[in-house]
Amino acid sequence: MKCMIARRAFLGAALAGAIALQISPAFAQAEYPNQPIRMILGFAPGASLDAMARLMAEPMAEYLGQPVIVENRTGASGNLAAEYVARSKPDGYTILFTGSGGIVVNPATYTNLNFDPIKDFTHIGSLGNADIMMAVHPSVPAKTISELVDLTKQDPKRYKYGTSGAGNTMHVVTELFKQRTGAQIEGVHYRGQGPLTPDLLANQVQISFGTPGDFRSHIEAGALRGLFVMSPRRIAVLPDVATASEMGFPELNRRGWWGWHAARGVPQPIVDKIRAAIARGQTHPVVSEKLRAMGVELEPEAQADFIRRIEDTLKAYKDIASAANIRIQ
Amino acid sequence: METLQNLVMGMGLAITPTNLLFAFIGSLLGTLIGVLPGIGPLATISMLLSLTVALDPVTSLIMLSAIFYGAQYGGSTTAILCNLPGEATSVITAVDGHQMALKGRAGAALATAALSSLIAGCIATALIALLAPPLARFALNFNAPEIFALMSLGLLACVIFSPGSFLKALAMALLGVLLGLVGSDVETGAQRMTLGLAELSDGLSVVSLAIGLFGLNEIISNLSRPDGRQVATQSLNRLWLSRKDFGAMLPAALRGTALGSILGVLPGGGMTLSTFASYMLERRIAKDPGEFGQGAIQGVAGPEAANNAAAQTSFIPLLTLGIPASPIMALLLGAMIIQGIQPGADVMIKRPDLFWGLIASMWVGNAMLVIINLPMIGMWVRLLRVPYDILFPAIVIFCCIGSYSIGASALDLVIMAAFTGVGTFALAVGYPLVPLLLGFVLGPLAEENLRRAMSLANGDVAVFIERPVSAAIIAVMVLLMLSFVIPMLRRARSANSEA
Amino acid sequence: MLAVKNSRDLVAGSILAIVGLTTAYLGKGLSFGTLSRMGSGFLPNTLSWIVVGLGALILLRSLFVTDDAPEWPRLRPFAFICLGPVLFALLIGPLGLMPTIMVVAAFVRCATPQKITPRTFVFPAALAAGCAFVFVYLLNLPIPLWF
Repeated sequence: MKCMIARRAFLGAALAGAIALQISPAFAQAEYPNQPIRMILGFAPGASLDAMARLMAEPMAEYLGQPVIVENRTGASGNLAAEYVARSKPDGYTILFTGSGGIVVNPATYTNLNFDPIKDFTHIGSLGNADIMMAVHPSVPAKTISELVDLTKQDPKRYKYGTSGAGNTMHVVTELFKQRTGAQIEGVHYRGQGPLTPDLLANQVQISFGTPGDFRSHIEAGALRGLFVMSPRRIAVLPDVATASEMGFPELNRRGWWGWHAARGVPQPIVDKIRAAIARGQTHPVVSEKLRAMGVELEPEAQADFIRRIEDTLKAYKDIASAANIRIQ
Repeated sequence: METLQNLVMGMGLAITPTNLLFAFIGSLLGTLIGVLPGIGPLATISMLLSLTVALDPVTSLIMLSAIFYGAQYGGSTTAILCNLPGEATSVITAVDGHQMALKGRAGAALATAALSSLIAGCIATALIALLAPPLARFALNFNAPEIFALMSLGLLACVIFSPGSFLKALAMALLGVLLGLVGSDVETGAQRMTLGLAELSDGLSVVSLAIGLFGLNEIISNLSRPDGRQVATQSLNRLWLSRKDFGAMLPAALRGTALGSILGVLPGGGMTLSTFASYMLERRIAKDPGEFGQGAIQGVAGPEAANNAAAQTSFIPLLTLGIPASPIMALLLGAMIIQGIQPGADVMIKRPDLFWGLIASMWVGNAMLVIINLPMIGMWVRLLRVPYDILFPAIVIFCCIGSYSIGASALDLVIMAAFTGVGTFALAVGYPLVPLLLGFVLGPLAEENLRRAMSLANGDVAVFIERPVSAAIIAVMVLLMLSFVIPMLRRARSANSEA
Repeated sequence: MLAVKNSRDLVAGSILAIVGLTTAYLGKGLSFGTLSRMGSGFLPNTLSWIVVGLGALILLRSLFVTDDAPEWPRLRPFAFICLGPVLFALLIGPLGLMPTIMVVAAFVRCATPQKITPRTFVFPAALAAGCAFVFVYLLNLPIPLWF
């Protein structure tokens, strides 16, 4: 029994930090926020989204004076979490943190969602952007987009693409690439980037879209080659990889992002307060450095711009998905 | 020589007071969450991830890794004491481990699990130090055709070696595969057999399935016996292993280590597969296979060693290539990225302190785990003496919380209850449960990789025999089938000639 | 005239066949695909019918091979243990962790005949307090303690 008590005391000490972070001074405040804020995620602990949310939760809680509790409601590629938040009370105490996939890609590729990404949400603000790039196996001789397209046309069965999931952002940009360039490639889908990378390194699939973080170390080791990035400028971590615009395909420019959303109808003062809390996290010296290391390009954005971006991207992705007949049930 | 120097350098890092402290905290926390059903290292590590930001990268990785392999130690405890596997990897430990506990050998079973894990952990860590890069390159040869062949081999062996009716074992394995296919299809996103429930789109939870089938089911059968639960209590005090036990345990643990070390490097279900593979191997080569299922010490030592060896070697693809072979490894990859370390082929060169410090800490951590766990055996064994009318409701509550904690889903609890019923029914009419679980874990991987292999080969079936590794695995499958069918035919023929 | 030689296989085979037919029914809308592009229904459908076939074989065997009768568990523990988690699922949302544990622990304990003693009340409360400490305070699980 003695050993049991010592054990508990020890664990208690070890985790005191964890608890301290969650319990901020709980003064009774008449105005928002006067109770803990729940940040809902559609992915399990372990996803990079989860790590970002937990990083941001601390400075946000500090600013708001209330705990920000990260809650994972997993299922259906994040759609369950989005639906849950869309149906919650618009009081600012339940907010959704998601990548652009959950708000503009899934609504374009899934046929039976129970929420409307425009009508059901108050789009609060974004954290930052994510670059997207194409990497190929070094055995692919093409150095430019046009060369690759010609190769695939000569032998449509020779080169295969792999995506990190059917109906996700990378699947949609792969279809965008096929539609805008006329490349003739077939491919397979994986359960995330983890199982895809070994097959790409082993030349089982030759072409894949992903984030610079997915490919960077393999490109530096010479195991993969970055063909192009879909950003307006070259990116800092891989300065040798040309942009799609440089290769004459500016229409391939796409970026993803991460942002916060709540149910439709949150009063503007509350939205502003959450936005200020987000800004505190974006400028927090330690947190911002960690986020950059995870591949987040922190960029302040006005709420109106955020909303416009969501609407434009959603329309574009819906067009791509319907042309490619991507219909996830 | 260089390896030795590096190891000395790593050891110097691992035994600094801070790193020792955090290795200890990690091991302890890992043991605790391993003991509790459902609460896995995945959830714990991710909750601690943001806390470790403040720590030095080496320290943070040492602690997070210790939680992971500590959980593998702890997982065997409830499996042995209550037939309650908290994860798929401890299902097979429960089979003989729990029988040992019922026969009053709980202490010996727990000691076997701890010592086998220690042996496996130390050897597998040495393998990482010596052979990580070649092993990682070997693992890259395992693509869709090989994974499909390997998973099929695992299922075939499980069905053939299952005691009792072949037909029933086969039926349960296939049923397990069907249950594993519930959820959205990787290739098309189509919802399969989900009854229109969005909560089922990620499939049935393996924890709910395992807890229901084995843990809760055990309670029902205990309560159904007219004389109540039978635990031989007279010899409970004998905690340590006899010389004979030790002689049976050691070779099994070494064989389990070998199997686990190889399968752990491979992507996907390597850890679970290695425990089952080790159990089947031990029963196949045992002098008295009838002892298996009745409390054979090799049936605990082999799988526990395999599990822990696989847990260690699953670090290899992450540390040498930056490829996470499992969700846990993906999490540790995330931890490295948060610390500003870009994992990849050059981690060993760019951050030797991280690589060798982590490896050295694995030895330290494994030693600590044994030091933590051995004294606790006495306490665990005393747990069996708690009156059952107190113990069983507590187990049910732990199972409920554990199952609920994974996804905050009420449906997971209903699934757990449903599989309690399925397990009870299956046992009543003589269906074995282990093939069901293995089919559930391996089946979806086999299907996914079969379809991927066919797509990538443009529909050419020859891909399975043109590639050397997959051809070799298929050859083993054919041999296994022949070794099963030929004696059966012979028996049938001699029966005919007699008639 | 054929007689059933063992009721165990009779039950086992027929249930298996029914399960196979059910999964075949559930998977009937899925596309079968081709060998080079197997559809989402390729394996579910094939396996379902194999399972139906195995069920039929086991059913057939009940006519020829003798075996023991099924060993059914007692109804009382079966019902209480299976319904415990369902009760937990129903209560955890509206009630929170502490009351749920107390109610479910008291309920599950009825799987065996119980006399009402002080233990009947003390045990669920103590269990709830212990769980709250381990799961919520120590492991920091995001489950509300009270409604």
